[in-house]
Amino acid sequence: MTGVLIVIVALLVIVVLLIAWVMATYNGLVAKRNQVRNAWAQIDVQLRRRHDLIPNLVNAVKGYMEHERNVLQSVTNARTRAMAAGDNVAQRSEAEGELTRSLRSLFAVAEAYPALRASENVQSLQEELASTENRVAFARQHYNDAVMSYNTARGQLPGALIAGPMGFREADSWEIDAANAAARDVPQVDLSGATG
Amino acid sequence: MRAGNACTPTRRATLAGIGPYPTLDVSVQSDMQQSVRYRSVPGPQDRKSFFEEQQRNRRNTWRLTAICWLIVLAMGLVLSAILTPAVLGELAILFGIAGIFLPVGWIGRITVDGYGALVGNLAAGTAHPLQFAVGLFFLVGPGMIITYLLWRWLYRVFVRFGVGGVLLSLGAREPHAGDLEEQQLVNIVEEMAIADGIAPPRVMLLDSDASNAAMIGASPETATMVVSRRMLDDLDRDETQGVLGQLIGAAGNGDLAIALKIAAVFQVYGLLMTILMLPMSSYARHAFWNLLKLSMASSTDASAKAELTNELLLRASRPDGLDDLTEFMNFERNDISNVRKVFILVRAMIFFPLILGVLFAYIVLLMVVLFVLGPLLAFTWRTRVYLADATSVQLTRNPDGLAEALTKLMRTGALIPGSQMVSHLFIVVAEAAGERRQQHMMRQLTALGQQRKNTDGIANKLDMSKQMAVMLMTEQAQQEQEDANTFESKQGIVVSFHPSLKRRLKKLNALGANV
Repeated sequence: MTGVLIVIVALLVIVVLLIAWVMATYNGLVAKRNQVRNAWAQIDVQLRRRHDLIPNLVNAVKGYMEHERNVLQSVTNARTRAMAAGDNVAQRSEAEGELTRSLRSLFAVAEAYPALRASENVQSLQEELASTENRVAFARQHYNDAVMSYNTARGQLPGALIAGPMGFREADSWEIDAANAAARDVPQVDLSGATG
Repeated sequence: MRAGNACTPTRRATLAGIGPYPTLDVSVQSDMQQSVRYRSVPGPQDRKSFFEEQQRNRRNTWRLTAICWLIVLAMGLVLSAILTPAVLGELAILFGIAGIFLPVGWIGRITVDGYGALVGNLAAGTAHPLQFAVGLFFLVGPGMIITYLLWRWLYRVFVRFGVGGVLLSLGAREPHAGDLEEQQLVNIVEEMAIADGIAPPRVMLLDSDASNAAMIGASPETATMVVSRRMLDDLDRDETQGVLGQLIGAAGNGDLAIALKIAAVFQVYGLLMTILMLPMSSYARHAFWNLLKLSMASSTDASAKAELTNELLLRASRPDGLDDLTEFMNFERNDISNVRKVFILVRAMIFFPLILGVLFAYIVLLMVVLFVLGPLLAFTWRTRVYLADATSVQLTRNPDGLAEALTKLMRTGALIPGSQMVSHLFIVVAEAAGERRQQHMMRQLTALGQQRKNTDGIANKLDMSKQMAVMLMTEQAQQEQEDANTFESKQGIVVSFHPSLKRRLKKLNALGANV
């Protein structure tokens, strides 16, 4: 009689532990998946920040760069295209790459205007833009880190048992392949040459 | 500070390009091998991944909260073993005195008799195991529960108000809008917050001579990043990024809550002593009243009071607290009447059990903090610092930034005045200044020694030796004075919460830095 009781209690304990374990693993995976999604959204936020900064920059340098209308126009056009690119990752990253390139040529041209380099307003905008480039890079890095953590959790053994049946698909990290190598080109915005 | 960072983005882009496998980043390694000639540089195989390093440190430190728990409970156990008889004896005396006028004398007798019976039963070991457990629980349970509840209470109160008080005492200010360096600082903080995936903290500046930075707060969401203006001037963008990455990484790792829990452990000590001293010390009454007012306060302007209350609470657990006790019993003063002297003597006799309890508790506490608690917390906290260093490398992907920054801070970093209660949250401590002074002294000593060799005559040599002795003593005094200003020494811990900078640099070098 007591033997049966012990077996029943033991089984109950095992079942409860099993359920608790599945719940914990599931919750962990959900948390990590949300981190990945959030990190992806953050890249978008930072790219948008760059779009918002560009009109200010163009306005600030316009007065100094009367003869470089082409360059300014190409920056404005690239921005418009990047904003219109939509959610397709390939198109988006190509448009953003183009914007990066046009900004870089703008800054390269700006090197020739000492008055521009001395302007505090431009320096400040330049810092904002440099920071934005960093933010985009960091947002991507954070996304990749989150993806790695998530993929490891769903690939390793406790997680792997329930990741598949419960529909946790593998996340893609942000790769820079030959097709959109443009994204790798970070504009060199160091035209102040100021050290501190 | 350089306006752009031409180096890091490309490096980061390379890393992003090959995906999340930082150890494969061979290009960085080859750069290093070119620039260094005299030291072997860890190659791609030797170099540790910061993810591994972080995991190792996490394994070492997930227990910190658990340690705090255990300490608080053990403290309750020890203190209730010491203090229960003291408090019960005190009650017996008070009820006995009251019993002269009112029929309450029996309450005191019952408490003492009950306690005696309980202890006697437990000591004899004749009781049934269940009875034994219940008896033991009645003996130490209440103390443990009270200590635990007090700990939680203090943690809550200081989570609400502690931060503002610290900022106030540091004299922090908002960044100037037009200043390029400060704009850059805000930007770097936001970049690092993005890299760590936390909300960007508020940024404030300190106009101090010392070069230092800290993230102060209860949680990453409500924390404030304080950076001394001097540090901005000393470090370039990459180095600042390394430092801020370390602090934000620490916050993201949950160090802020742990720091407050550790602080609350010491505050519990102080509070328990304060409560015991209530009848005997006006300071204790003042501190307790302040704490009560603080826990009732709802607005954030109570933060200055939080700082004061903290100081007052700690006073009770320090030698100053014993001074109050001596003062309470001091009847040999000349400036008081004989009647007053007798009154003091009688009063001391009435409160004798409590005084004895406080003294015992004080001694036990001193031993525990000195030999167990202090080293335990200090060494565990150090692993948090290593973890934050490794996290900084993860965020910036640039171990050189933090390593260079630490090297520079070794020269200019020092404790910020007013930061005593949070010195463990700062990136470096007085140790940096100490190391600096030591080097300076060594140079002077060598110079003196050289001089000594060159001079003739015993009188001169004696004079030199005297100079050396004076110098050593001054150094010692300075060191002691500076050490007395850190969080840990305020709590009577002799082991520093900060690992030595050399150790940190060594670990950073293992992660690929080259300093």
